[in-house]
Amino acid sequence: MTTSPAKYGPTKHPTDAVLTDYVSGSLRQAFSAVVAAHLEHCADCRVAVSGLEAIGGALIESLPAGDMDAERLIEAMAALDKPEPKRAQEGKPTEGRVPFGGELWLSPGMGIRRARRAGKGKDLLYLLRLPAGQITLPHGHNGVEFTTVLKGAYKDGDQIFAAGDFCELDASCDHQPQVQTDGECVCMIASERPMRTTTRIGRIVQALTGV
Amino acid sequence: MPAARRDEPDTASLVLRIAERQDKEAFKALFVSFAPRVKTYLIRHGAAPDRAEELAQETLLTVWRKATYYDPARASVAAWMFTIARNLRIDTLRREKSAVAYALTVHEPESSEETPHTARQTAQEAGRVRKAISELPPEQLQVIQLSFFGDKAHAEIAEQLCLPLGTVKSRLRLALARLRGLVGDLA
Ligand SMILES: [Zn+2]
Repeated sequence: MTTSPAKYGPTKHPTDAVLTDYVSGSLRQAFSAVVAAHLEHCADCRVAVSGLEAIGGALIESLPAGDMDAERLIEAMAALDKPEPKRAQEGKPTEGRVPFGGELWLSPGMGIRRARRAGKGKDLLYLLRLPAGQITLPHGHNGVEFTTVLKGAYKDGDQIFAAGDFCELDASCDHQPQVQTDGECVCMIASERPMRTTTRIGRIVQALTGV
Repeated sequence: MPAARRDEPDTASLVLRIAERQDKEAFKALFVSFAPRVKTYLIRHGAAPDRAEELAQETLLTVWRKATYYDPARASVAAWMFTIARNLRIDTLRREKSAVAYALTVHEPESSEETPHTARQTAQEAGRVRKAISELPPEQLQVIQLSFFGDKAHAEIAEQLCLPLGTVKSRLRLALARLRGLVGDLA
């Protein structure tokens, strides 16, 4: 933690519980996207994910076989020579990313981009860009919040979160992170519902951005 | 070579036969051994039986179409099948498509240096993981199964079991510690 984390990969990782929820598919979309952003930076967690997928495979093999209508195999065999249906092609992995909207300007060097589709419910997914040295407004959280740092670094208490680092906060946390002074910081953030602002100016920003 | 419990090396060679020469007999054998279990997996996630059959069928068809992408040194056939079935489940049952596309891009094209395994090692590991799962203490097995088959995140699992979240997490951690030790260097 005392050395530059960028050189050795992220130092702050999702917990086993978060990675398991990610692999099993039970994380909601906004949160899943933030974990995926960490995985892009983190070879260790990609290996952990492969291990969890191996466990998922072994669990499927240990399940009892369901009764399949024999017709299903016949249909599948008949489909083998047909071209791939369009829907399946759309589902192919692409370089596509979660689509984010245009940046909403907040103040010099500071902006926010909301994801166009953050999935079900009231989940929020957004990119937050803060200038070097920026101290955020003090705030707390009403629910779980996941953050992956995409660029730069910020300090929260005595911990530094640098590019690739992952942070999970729950409702009990009140904090006031500060961007490091050597450059701007961009984070991808998912949260269950708008944060709890503890100041008047915070409530004004919130009204403007919906965050 | 210690024999894997089931015919694990063979399932990998079935996929390779599909990749190399569109071998329909190999597809049939894979379908028979996996589709019924994938159906059970989907039912555990709340799919109606008919829907579960359709998606199990689609899972196997995806294996047919993407067989050339399968690398037996990287993952067991079961693990690969699991990710395909999971993605179809999320796509179709939850209609949250963009995040899945996002997640898919992350760990598909992986450099092989991170997993310097042979196909045989991967297959042997799969056998060991299956065995270890069958030997987990019941309370750990329950948490592992609910984690993978139930569409519930850990906070909800804790609620369902009327256990503190910390207990659920520590059971998960203990189970993963046992299982991961068996999957190469994933400890
Ligand atoms: Zn990591």
